[in-house]
Amino acid sequence: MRHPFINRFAAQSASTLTSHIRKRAKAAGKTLLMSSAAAVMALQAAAQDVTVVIDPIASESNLYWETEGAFMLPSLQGLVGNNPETGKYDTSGLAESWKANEDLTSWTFTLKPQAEFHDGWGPVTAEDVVHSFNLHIGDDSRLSGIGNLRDATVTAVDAQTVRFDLPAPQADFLFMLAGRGVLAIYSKAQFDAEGLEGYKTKPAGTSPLVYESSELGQGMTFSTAQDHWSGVDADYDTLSIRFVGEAATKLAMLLSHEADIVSLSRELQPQALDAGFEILASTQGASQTSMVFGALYTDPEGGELPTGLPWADVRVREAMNRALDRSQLLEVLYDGRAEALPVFTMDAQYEGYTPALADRFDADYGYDPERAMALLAEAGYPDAFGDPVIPIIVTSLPGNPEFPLISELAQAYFEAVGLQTEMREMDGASILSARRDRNAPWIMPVRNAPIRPAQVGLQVYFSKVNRPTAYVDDAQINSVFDELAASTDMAERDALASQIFTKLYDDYTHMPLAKIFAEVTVDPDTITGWTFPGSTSSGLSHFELIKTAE
Amino acid sequence: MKRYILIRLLESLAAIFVITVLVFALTHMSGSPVDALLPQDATQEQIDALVSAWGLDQSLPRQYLSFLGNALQGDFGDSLKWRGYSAMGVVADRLPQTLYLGGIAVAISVVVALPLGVMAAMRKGGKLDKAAQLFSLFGQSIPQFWFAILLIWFFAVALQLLPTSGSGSWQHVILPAIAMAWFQIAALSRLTRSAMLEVLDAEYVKLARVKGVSETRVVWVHALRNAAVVPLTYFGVLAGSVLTGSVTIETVFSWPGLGWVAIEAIRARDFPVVQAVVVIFALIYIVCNFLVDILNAYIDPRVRA
Amino acid sequence: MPLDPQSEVVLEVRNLTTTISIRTDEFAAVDNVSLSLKRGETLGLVGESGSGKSLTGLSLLNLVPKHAARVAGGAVMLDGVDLLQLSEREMRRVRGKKISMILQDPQTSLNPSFSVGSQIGEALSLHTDVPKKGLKAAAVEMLRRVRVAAPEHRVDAYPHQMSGGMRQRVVGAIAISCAPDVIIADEPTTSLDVTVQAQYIRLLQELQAETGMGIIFITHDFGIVAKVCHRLAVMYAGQIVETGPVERIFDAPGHPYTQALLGSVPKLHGQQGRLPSISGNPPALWNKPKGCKFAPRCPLADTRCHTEEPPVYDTPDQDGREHWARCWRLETQ
Ligand SMILES: Nc1ncnc2c1ncn2[C@@H]1O[C@H](COP(=O)(O)OP(=O)(O)O)[C@@H](O)[C@H]1O
Ligand code: SF4
Ligand SMILES: [Mg+2]
Repeated sequence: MRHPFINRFAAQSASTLTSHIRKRAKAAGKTLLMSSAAAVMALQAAAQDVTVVIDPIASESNLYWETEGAFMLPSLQGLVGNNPETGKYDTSGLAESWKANEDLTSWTFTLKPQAEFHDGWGPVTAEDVVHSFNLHIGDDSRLSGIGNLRDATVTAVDAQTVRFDLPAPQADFLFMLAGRGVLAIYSKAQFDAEGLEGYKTKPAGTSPLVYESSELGQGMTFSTAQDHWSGVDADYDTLSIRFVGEAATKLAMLLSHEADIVSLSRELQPQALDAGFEILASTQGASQTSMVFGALYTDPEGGELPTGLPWADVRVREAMNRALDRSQLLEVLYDGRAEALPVFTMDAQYEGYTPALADRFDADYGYDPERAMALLAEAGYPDAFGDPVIPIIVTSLPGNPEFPLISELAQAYFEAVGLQTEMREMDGASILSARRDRNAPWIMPVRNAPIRPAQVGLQVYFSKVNRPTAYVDDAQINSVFDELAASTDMAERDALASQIFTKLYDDYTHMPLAKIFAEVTVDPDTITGWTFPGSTSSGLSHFELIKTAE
Repeated sequence: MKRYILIRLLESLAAIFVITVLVFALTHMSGSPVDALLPQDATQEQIDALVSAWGLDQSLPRQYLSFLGNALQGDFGDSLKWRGYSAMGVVADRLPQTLYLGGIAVAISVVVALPLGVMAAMRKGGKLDKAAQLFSLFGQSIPQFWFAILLIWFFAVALQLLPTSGSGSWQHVILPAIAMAWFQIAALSRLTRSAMLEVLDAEYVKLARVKGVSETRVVWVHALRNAAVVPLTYFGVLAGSVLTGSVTIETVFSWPGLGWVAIEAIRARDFPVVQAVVVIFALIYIVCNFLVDILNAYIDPRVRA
Repeated sequence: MPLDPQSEVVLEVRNLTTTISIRTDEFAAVDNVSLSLKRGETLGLVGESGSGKSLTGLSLLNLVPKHAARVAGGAVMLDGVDLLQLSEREMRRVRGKKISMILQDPQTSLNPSFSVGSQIGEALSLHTDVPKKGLKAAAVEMLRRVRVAAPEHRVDAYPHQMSGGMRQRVVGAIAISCAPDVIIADEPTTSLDVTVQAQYIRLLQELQAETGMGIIFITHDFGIVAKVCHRLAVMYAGQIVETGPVERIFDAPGHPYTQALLGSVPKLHGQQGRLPSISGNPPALWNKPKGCKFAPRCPLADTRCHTEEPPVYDTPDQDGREHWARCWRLETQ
């Protein structure tokens, strides 16, 4: 069991490579040390108001469907909840129970009779769900993943019962309705009375947190509901979420006690720790990181196949995996607060988890530069390849500030075993554009946040469903994936997913890196705990569970 | 004078035209907006809808003309990040904050730098002059970003006198305004000093003294009026650097102005807002320089001719 | 224009010394200068460039360049008051009002940013009780007095809109605006063309006749000296080496330097009167000869000239008017 409070790891960097990189990574932070000692003057922030500082969110809107789904207002809820400890689907959402038919094409939810909207907009009924669904699948919807819901038919069976009928089985349907879901429940009564304007100014939600106001680009404020229907009683009176982009400013806010909880980048965490602040992590993994081989396409059905890529040779792929010293990598990237990941998209929470792969991981993927060089020699690298140079993409992604560093480190490891590399800086949109053109033959870091259910994750990254933007397009995997998508038998699904994961693993189809946790840095004088599962895009949720000091 | 203003006005309009071409070209060079605007699992219908909504299926000159037509009406489309707002709406919403911060920063720079420069020139080689010289060296050599962080560290974290960031009260504006003004003070005071030194040697300054004009009036009226042309011309540059500076300063201080909007919009690939911000920045810059030219003509009768 | 012999002395300069500091040392650029000026009188101050004429003029106003120079000693008695003893504040009330100066270069001595009217008005507002509203009318009047055509129109003009001659007349207007007792005209016509020069000189004479002011006329030009000056002081290396009535000096110059200067002047009232070039250069400030300052260039110099500074020898004319020169050669006469 992982305790939410993690103390700082003593940094032990043996090799010069690591210490060099460490210096680079922390250069920015060092200068800030200057007067942090003087800064620790506890101006006791009144614990009744909690200020949480996070990165500016990608799209700010009170209308969830107009965003990509990266941040759901804490006042809103979906039908299904996530358990704060285990991350598993639970009844902390608006539905008290649900059941699916045999072939998983029809899902029926029973709403909690006591659930009601804030500001007197009445009880939550099936009509609200139908109404919200219609809004979410509209033309202006930008929700990533909404495609899985578009073809559903939603019926209000009675006031408390709502049914989703799907054209094809969806074993992971609950994922759509939970924390990183694509359906937030809005009040139809409010819409009928005030229209979209009402939602824009003050959308009535259902959670223990009541939306009060938001200021464009600055943040938003919530109050806590008195005698909430769910029985949850938050420790504090108001919650302010503030958007601050600059890491140093966030740290300053913490040190000056303007903020109680801050999502601080890893480079600056040591300084906060030195000043007596503490790090709080999600109870479950919040995301996975990996490096992928672009254009690992072998299924001719997907279109023209790339030729001459060095990593088309499995020996080169194994060599590249073997070239990485993962334990050192994780130490540098995540201060050691991360877990080894045998297969990207595979997770113990979900189907197809194959412990054998984790057990074999060290033997098959362990750091072994000699073996890497032998493999490369065997493959005839570099002479056997028309263009032996391996392009590595350097890109930055909000929420993953370590991405450029991953690329730099990987380059150093690759070059150490004799691979020829080339760094290319590219922004997300250009990368996506190249992928859409099926023309992305390079190595790059990717993430899976939040960690998706097996089928969903496999679909996005490794299946023909996501042609042309998937990274792997393999005839055998594609056919097993078809079976998985069609299967409604849980044991069978588990076996099929495991089969795909094993194939991905055995073929060295990518370079899995880490499972990481969502972390926030908190002021222990005001915040005593917060249990959240890391099951949303931002990793943060369950704000009502923030525990404050007296 | 009328002719002069007319010429400057035409020049400004030409500059604005060039800016719109640049903005348009940049947007189209940085790849199809489709990739920035749609999630990676977008359907073909979504892509098609976007292509026709943006007129991407039309020829470039046609696209430019409709862009220009809309831009002239202040219509840059809807913001992608701040859903429900028009791009111009976001810009108009944040512009006052930038003007407020920039205005205070410029006021601080002028109020500090002009007297500093004048006094340094009056006591050339003296203690004040040397101090001012050191100050400018320091002011111009540390990066604005670090200076801003230092200010936060000292005043907000160590002394806890002022808030670290954000906006709302008069306390909030102090640190960002100082951070922004600092660099201008350095540059402006040097410029004022050298302009004053030149002017103080002039015969007409001597003549003013011969007339019995007091030294104060000699310096602040006779000399400064002529020296002012130099810092005033710099004022146009100042307006520009306050705008570009706002990008750094507003980000560090989470000041919800245009510079901050620019960064956030770029991060979120919010093309309509980026375009609107760039055009507005350019407009402000051009208007400032136009005003400076007019003011110059007002101060220096020779320019008017 | 003959001078009334009864005219009283208005300005008396005694042993004025002004030093220039070069690094840590000070050198006398105006060396023990004594002068006097009567009401209505014009005293010519001539000498090669760099001999200290302008600095002498500025010293009288106690306006020497701040960091470089310093009035080190002597007295400047104006109306019985030693100007050098006045505080800066008191001195400001004298400048422009009792003693004024026309600067050398009309192109640059007017402030380009202000209308000529306001520049004239400023002097008036400082020293007279002309009300603010009346300043413009007074400036127009001043312009009229210096013969600027259409003064009502010109009063709002800026310097760059005027010709050089007109500008110099504006400078003149500023100088006379408060009816000073003494005007120092520092080569006021050097940069003007010949006809304009003549007009300007006539103007100065007319103004002098109207107001009775004393003028110290600094110039290179013996032609002008002959036309406008009553008396002459010849300056060399910071010293007055000869002084006396103009006709007397022209007839019988006492100092070899004066003789050399006059050597190429064709005739007394000739138009061509530029100072001739004398072979050699005046001594540098920091390198002045021990004896007679002129000795290195003097055709008559003997050993004593090189070692001992010559005293002043008086050679008054038959009317008893003052004439003296600093030269050992006069010892025997
Ligand atoms: N501001 C100054 N700084 C240094 N030296 C000066 C300055 N003004 C005048 N001098 C020196 O004083 C001497 C006299 O100068 P000036 O009075 O201008 O000569 P003139 O007017 O006779 O040509 C010259 O040697 C000149 O170099
Ligand atoms: S004293 Fe001697 S050197 Fe000097 S001027 Fe007379 S003759 Fe010449
Ligand atoms: Mg001179």
